[in-house]
Amino acid sequence: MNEHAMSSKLIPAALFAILVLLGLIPIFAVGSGTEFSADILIYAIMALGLYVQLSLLGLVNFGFSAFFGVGGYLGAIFIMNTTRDLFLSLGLTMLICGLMALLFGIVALRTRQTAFTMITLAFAQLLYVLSLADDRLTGGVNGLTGVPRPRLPIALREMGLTVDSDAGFYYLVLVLFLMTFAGVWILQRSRMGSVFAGIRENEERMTVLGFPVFSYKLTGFVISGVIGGYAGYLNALLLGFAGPGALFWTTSGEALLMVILGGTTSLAGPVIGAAVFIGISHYAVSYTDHWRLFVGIAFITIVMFAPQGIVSIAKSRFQAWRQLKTPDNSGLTK
Amino acid sequence: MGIFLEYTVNAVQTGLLLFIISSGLTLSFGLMRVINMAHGSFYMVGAFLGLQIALISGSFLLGLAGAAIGSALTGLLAEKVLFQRIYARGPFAQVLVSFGLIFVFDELVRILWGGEIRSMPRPTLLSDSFEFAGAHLEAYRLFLIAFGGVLSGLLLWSLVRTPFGMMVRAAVDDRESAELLGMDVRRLFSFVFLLGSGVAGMAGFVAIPLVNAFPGMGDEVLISALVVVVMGGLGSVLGSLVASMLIGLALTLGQIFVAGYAPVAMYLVLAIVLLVSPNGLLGKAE
Repeated sequence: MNEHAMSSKLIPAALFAILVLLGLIPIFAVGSGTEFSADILIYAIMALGLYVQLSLLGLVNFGFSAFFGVGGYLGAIFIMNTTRDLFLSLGLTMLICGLMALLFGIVALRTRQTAFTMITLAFAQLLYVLSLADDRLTGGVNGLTGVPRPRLPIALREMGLTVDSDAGFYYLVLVLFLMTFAGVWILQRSRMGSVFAGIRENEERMTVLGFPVFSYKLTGFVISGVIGGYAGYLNALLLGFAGPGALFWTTSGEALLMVILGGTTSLAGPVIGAAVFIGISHYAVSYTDHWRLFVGIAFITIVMFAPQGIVSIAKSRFQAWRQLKTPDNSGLTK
Repeated sequence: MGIFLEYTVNAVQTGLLLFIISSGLTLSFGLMRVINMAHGSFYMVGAFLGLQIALISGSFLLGLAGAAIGSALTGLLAEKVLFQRIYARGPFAQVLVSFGLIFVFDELVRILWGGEIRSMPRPTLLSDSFEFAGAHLEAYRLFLIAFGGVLSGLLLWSLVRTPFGMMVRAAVDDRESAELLGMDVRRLFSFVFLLGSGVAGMAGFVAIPLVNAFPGMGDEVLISALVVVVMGGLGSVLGSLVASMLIGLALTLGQIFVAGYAPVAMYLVLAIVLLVSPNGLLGKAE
């Protein structure tokens, strides 16, 4: 009882405080702080996309870089060659990534477990190899450089809005991040989310119960691919660069790392995992050229000592702290 | 017909090299269900250690021995310090820890040897190429075939004929029963891990004259090795051999018909095999 009362007051308050802080970042950030924050939010979007597959459906996709990388290339290509309009280029990117996920999901979801993991990996590596081999579209090893920021429609620009500046672009990323977070939250609590959970726990049972399991999995796969696609789009436009590195399997590994590091069992997991991953990398870079060494050691240490991810460690600490404050209740909850 | 012989040599050489790299990965998965993403790092560590020793001593053979011992000990250390603590924790923890290890090893190599691409000439005895039946054959590739062939033969022989191999096969087949019969599967696994890392390190060293050595060289090889292991069927050494040869063939054919797109062939073959048979060529159902 007490637990509910506490969380119903504490959690919305905390969420509101975080929201205000996120909104204030461009005003108070020094140096490249705004870009750094945008970077974290972009990877959080990517991790949320993977979360839909990994946590909601229980699909271990090791080729998530396919969507992130292709989204980046598409954004760069549309903005440099077709249109600088934000909504048009973003919409087209999402549409194509969705179609790609649909086609690929139809093939990959025929397999399960290790075969699924490996076939997704093969698919992403296939795209990586293609991006290197055909440099007319992708610029080969060098990638596409000097990608400009997109433009808002005139009506919005006349209201004084822009995504050209770092602050303007940050707010674009923030809005998309909040929409993604809310979207995945709604999905998780919806009827479809319950079916996803059923499939994750026992696919045969759901099939026997008459659920079109394949269609549900495919839907989740496409949603996740679209999210990965626009995360890649934002990443390419933040950096002004789209290259093959985003398609390489290590990007998929990093995405998995972020979700598992943060925790696969709650929506905060991928966000916190992304923040910790990008944060550690960012600060290690500013201290040493050999930052990867420290990033690697940090991950190994975290995994060895926080098996369930950062969020559940924080949760259990929080619960322990609360029980300390209300010792008479600890007996009742047991 | 000469050109046909050349392609066959290339395909067999590529396939055998892939097989000796992936054999350690197959066995460690078969034994402990461990997914070791850092296997490519042992390949890289072997390449750089061997190269250093070969440069100092001027001897290719000493370099090869150094590569084997160095990478085997590195593998054993990683197994004792990290993997042993996380067997029970399932695939997530294993993937994450070994992924972290890749960062560590790539950067250690960069610190010790710098970030440049390093090459190594073929040993003088093997630097020639010659004409045979109209084919232009390189001595070094023939050496690699012999080397890979002997190593693969030894591996298969020891698995089939020696008590050690029988214990490994028994434990791969049914770990619980093997343990009930009194086998120390963990020690067996440590030993397999040591051997697998050492063999991967040797492969890294002998591959330098063909593909050079650079930090991150293991990251690309790891994926090829994973493709082999999965295509062959997890835990099946014979399956890995067949898959390696298929991929060697696919890569060589790709090189001929669609140069630049050759690696595409490997992933296409994997996708087809998995769609037809999700457990790989010779794998058992999980």
